[in-house]
Amino acid sequence: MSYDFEAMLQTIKDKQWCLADIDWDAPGAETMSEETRAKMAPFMADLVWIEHIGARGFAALAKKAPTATIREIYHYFHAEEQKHANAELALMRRWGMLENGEIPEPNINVKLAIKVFDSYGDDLPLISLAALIPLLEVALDGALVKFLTDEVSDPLCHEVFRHINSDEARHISVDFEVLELLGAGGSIQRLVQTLAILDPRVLVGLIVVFVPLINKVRDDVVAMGLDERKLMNAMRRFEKIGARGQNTQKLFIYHLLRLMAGMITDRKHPYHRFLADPMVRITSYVPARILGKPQSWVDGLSPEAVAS
Amino acid sequence: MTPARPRAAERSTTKTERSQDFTGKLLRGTDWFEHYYSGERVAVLATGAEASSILPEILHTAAAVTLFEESPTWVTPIGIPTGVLQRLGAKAYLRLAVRDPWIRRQLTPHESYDSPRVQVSPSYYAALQDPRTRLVHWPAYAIVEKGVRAADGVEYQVDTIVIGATSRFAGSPPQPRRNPAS
Repeated sequence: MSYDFEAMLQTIKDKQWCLADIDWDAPGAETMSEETRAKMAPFMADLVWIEHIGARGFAALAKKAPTATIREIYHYFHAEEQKHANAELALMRRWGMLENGEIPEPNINVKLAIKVFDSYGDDLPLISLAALIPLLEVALDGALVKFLTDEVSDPLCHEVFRHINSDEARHISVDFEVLELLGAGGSIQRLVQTLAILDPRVLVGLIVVFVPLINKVRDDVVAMGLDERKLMNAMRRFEKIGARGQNTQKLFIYHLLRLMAGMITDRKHPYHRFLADPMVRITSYVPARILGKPQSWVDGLSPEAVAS
Repeated sequence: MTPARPRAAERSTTKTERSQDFTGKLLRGTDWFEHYYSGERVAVLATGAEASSILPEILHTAAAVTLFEESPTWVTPIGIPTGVLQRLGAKAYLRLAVRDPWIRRQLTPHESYDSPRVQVSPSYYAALQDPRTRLVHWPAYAIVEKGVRAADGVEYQVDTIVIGATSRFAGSPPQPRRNPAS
């Protein structure tokens, strides 16, 4: 039986929440020690920007959505990812991590991702983003956010992430259902999809942007004390959910990313020595100046619950 | 096509109604046309086709307008005879009139899912780029005491809300649920 996207859209509409639903001044902020604050500030900044990039990813998916309902779902997901970034900013402000109320500066890998989205985000083949986003989300959901909630005892943080995780669960389930839908086409359609991945823009996106972006965050978080097994479990989830879908199994890109997920978690794999580490190093030398001015969606973040 | 101004016969005679939660004025259908907005902060929930006539009109007097554009529409400054020229003219006009590429992206209708119709409005894009206008492309999901809540988690507080006649909220304005997300 095919998946009911209409029902999912209705659920998404029913489950909307707002930053104003949360009392950002509730007690608990004092549980954040000076040490944890210093450790968490750069991590939170990365998290905010990855959510924001994810939001842009959904905006690109909305342009390519196979049906009008899925397009509307992506519209909501685009907004929700932005909401998550805003909520995380509000947490940062609560913990005194925003200097003079300023939005943290993205790192160079995030800036490269922004550049890629600005230049040809809307032209990337649907299948590449549709497969990449769930991988990002299981990693974010299963490893990074879990790490954060384990480290931070502020009850408000847990409340916020209950909301976020409930949204993310829907994102992941729709992501995989869309893959299932894309995999349901005939063999010629799948061949075309596979060839589309060879599009140089996809390859550049993967190798120059995705690989170093993920590896940098991965290493930073592991250095901060994330158990690598948790990362492995998160990535295994990508494999597990994908394995449930008969048609997803037929997608070449799913298998490619599944293998990549395995390589990312295994620090001893040659992938790190020959590809990821050099890419992190090379990109760190890229001067942000040459990337030019990003488009105005980048300025859309705000920790404010209310706009008047 | 939505007429730029509703004909007198079509104008609704109902007075300003109050939503059960919203403390400001809630205008529906074509009521927006008869209201004076001097100094008010206004939210407009409408399709692009309707917004292209509502926004420039309201902006004459309103202090600030937040437009929740439900679906974008093609716009030309002057009437162009139907055909390929119309679409080309609309594309060129968007490219020339809106400098910000991201806003341009938000204002570009989808090839297959949005209406291919072209509206005539010489002042829509200028009104959209007025510093008093805020274009919100997130879906609105609730009208609350002080304004409109959108899916980006922000509550946009306003004095008056205009719900367009073809808006998806025309039948029933979005109501907040009793229990927010679980």
